[in-house]
Amino acid sequence: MRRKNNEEIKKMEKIIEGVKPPELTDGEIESYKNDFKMLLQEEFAKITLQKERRHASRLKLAYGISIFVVLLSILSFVCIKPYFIKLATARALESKLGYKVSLKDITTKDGVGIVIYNLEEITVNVINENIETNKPILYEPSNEEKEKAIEIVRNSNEAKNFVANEGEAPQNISKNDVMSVKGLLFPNSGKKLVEVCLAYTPISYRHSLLPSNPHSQAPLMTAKFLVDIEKGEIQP
Amino acid sequence: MDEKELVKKATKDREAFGEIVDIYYKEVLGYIYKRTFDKELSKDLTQETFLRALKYLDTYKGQSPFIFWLLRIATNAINVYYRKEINENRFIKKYEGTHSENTSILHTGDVNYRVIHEYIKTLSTIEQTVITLVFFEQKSLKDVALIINYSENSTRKVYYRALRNLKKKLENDGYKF
Repeated sequence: MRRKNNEEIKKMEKIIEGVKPPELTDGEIESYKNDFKMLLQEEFAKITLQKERRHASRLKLAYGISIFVVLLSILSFVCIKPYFIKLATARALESKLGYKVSLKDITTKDGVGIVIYNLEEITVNVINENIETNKPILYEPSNEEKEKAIEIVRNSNEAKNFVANEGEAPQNISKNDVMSVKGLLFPNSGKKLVEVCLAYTPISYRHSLLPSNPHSQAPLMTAKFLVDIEKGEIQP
Repeated sequence: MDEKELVKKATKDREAFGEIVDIYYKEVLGYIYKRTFDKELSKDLTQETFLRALKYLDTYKGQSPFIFWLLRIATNAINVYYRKEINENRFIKKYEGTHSENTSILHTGDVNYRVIHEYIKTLSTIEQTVITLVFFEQKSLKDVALIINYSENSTRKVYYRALRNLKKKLENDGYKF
């Protein structure tokens, strides 16, 4: 079958080979060619101009793309660099001080990572892994800052469900008197926190008050809340 | 001046491009004529081929002979023309009824170019190209591969597929092998 097919293909080849293809006469070819050369006189300049324009626009496009790529690289570097600083800071804090810090709590400034931890400002130089700890400076917050901080505290869940000691039931101290408002300024990061102290009475004292002694007074305690005004939240 | 130098010069020099036309016009026209079997159409498509070649002359890298590059452009011009014809539905009308005419000629054993051309036209464009270049332009399969920018192996496959398809079409019209 295959052999028969091959023979038939060979026969097909022979049939086509036996066909004489048509040829144009030399006169026709010359005439067509001359017509084309006449056309070429007009078209050559046009096409050359088109090519030059195309080349120029390609060049512009190439420049545009290069500039775009450079800008994109710079932009991505600017965005990526702080992330790497944060990562290096978190690692340095964990390995040297044993602190576990979330990346979102770390800020970067002039190539160093800064984190506020236990009311201290820890600055990590990621190049030499040098760690510096600073205490905050007390400052007098403005009236606007005070009002905002108190409002944040009063609206917070921490004040509404305040637990003084472990195992105690939560109490709402959000409407209690404000005892003091202090400002804390962290020198390296320039971050400000406002400390708001609210008065409260421990639940255990309320229950143990004897009705037989109406003049006995419950001790007045203060609950401290550190407010980050920029974020609008209480610092954990 | 060798071919590469002439081509380089022709990108900016009309005289040099005229020289290219002098050298290659006949072969390109001949190839297109064998594909289309229509003098006016061949003239138009040859003009289009050379104008397109002028437009993209600076993309010719000299990896294959310049005539192969021109024949590739010519092949594209023909294929684009036929595609347009098919889209405009003129192609079918133009070649309607040619098979019954061919059959009677085949029975007499008189297979001339007009008949075989009508059958070749029913093949795919790539098969038409390969058959025309091999049989009527006497190009080797290696050269055809360079012209159509296929590997030699793929070109061989197209060649045998084209012959099988052609044989089938002839048999369908009653030709006895």
